[in-house]
Amino acid sequence: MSDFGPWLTKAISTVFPQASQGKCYFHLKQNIKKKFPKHFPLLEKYIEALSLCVHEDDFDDLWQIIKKDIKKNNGLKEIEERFIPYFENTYMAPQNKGFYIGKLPPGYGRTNNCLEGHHRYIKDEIFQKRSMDMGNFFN
Amino acid sequence: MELPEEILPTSIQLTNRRFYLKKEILKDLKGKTLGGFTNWIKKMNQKVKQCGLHDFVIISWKLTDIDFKLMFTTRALLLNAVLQAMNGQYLSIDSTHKLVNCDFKFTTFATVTESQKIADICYMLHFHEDNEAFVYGMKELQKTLKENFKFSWKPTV
Repeated sequence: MSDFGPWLTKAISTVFPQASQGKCYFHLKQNIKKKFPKHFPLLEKYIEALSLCVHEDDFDDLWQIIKKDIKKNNGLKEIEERFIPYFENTYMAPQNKGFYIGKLPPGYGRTNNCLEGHHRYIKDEIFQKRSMDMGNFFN
Repeated sequence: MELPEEILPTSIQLTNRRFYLKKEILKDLKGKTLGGFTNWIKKMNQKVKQCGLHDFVIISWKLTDIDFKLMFTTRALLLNAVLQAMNGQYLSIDSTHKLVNCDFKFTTFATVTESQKIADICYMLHFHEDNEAFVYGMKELQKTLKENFKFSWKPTV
């Protein structure tokens, strides 16, 4: 399980080629929220539905249904033109698809939040939220 | 599988671990010349088997003109990882940034339990965040688990 960092994704495939890579659903939502803040409430519903798929076929079929749903609604022209190509190129790519529950180990949750929390602790408590230069960092 | 109680750190040991991370490993690296740095590494380079369960140990490092990687852990973390991996083999990796305003990264390799608790395996300090750094980290970790616990670590997820 990791975020969508391309180097991490590639390295896991190199060292553990047989491993199925789970991708953090929380990171996905955050990325979409940042990129499409105005339409996020609607997009979140689509993404949530995709993330609950158990089989890859269902996942692919649902994506086609979502695209049709967006295209038939004239008010969603911006989503059609910007969101669909972005989502397909980024999150429908084979290496990044692993955010739906069928790709994740049963019962383990869908996010990397526990490690994020761990790192937040290091930043907040150990380094007291300061971003320092090297000299201060080692002092 | 029940974890032996002694491999779970007490709060004092956790505090020591954090203290060690900040005050020893990071501070000790300050201002080292190449020679000083390699001497420091040699001094720190205990064998995993010779360490106490909760003492930090450097398991691998690499320093070049343009790159720096340092992996460290405790024997308890490695042992815990082996036991957790026997149950689930669920590896989680995350890098954190912005600790310093240069290309310095801190990466945690962990297994995650069913109750979404992390069981850290080891940490890596590295200047570059690229394919080479992560491949290095995972391969060195694999090697360490094999050498010290005869454990063939092949996460499936």
